[in-house]
Amino acid sequence: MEISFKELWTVAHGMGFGGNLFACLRGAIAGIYSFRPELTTHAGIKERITRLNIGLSLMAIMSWLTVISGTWIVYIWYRAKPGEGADLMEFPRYFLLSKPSTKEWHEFGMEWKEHVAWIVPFIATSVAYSVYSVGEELAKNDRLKKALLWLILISFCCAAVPGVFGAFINKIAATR
Amino acid sequence: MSQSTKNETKALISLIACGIGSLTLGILICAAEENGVVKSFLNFYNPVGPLAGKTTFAVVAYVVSWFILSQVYSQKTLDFGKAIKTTFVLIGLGIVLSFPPVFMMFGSH
Repeated sequence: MEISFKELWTVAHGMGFGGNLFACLRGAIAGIYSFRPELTTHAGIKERITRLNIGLSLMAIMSWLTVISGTWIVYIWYRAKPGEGADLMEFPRYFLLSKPSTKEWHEFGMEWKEHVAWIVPFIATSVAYSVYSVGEELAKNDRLKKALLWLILISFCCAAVPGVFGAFINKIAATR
Repeated sequence: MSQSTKNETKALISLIACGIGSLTLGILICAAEENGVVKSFLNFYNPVGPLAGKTTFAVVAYVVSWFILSQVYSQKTLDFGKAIKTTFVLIGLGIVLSFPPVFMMFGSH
């Protein structure tokens, strides 16, 4: 049972940070949606805003860790240039581009994934800060809650693109 | 349209900054496709390629715009509806410009 350093980082990026990000995004939707005065007591509001702040901060941290590890660690191995006569299986980008049947995985999938993912930490950080700055008032502030829920939904979709393409690309041309 | 509270304005400023960061990313993606000089400029760390510059400058735009807007609106409040619409339009443009069939129209990929 062995795992290489590169594989370990790929797992940390996708399943560790990325997986936790999805859990946090789902929690954020549930937490903000149900943060209503009619559903809880004043003491409950106080307790839940603390929990919401912690959860949303974790969501923002996970989103940054996912994109930073993806771009500055895993992506470097993905786009490494092969030397003369090298085995293309070791060089995912060039392996995908070498065949017409796989090149769209890079030209569409990877190109979309590597860019759109960076919108997620912007949204996650701003949503976390918004809830922190409004605090307990958020419970009665339906207009802000509605906007934040839509933004989290958008960031969920922006995170789903790299999540899905990352899984497929790593299946076809794994970073080893 | 109604004016936001002081705390809402703080939140709205961070959301608009998020939109500015997203749009900057989208513009840089297209600019790198369209112009070789921009692409080389963004490629300041070769192992990562132009993605290094695109994402770094988008983060800088996000942080700097947040700081500037916070200073400008430290004693004022924002119109809630207009601020939210601006945020969604900026993020939407950023997402559209980061879609490969769109940014590939700007150059030979």
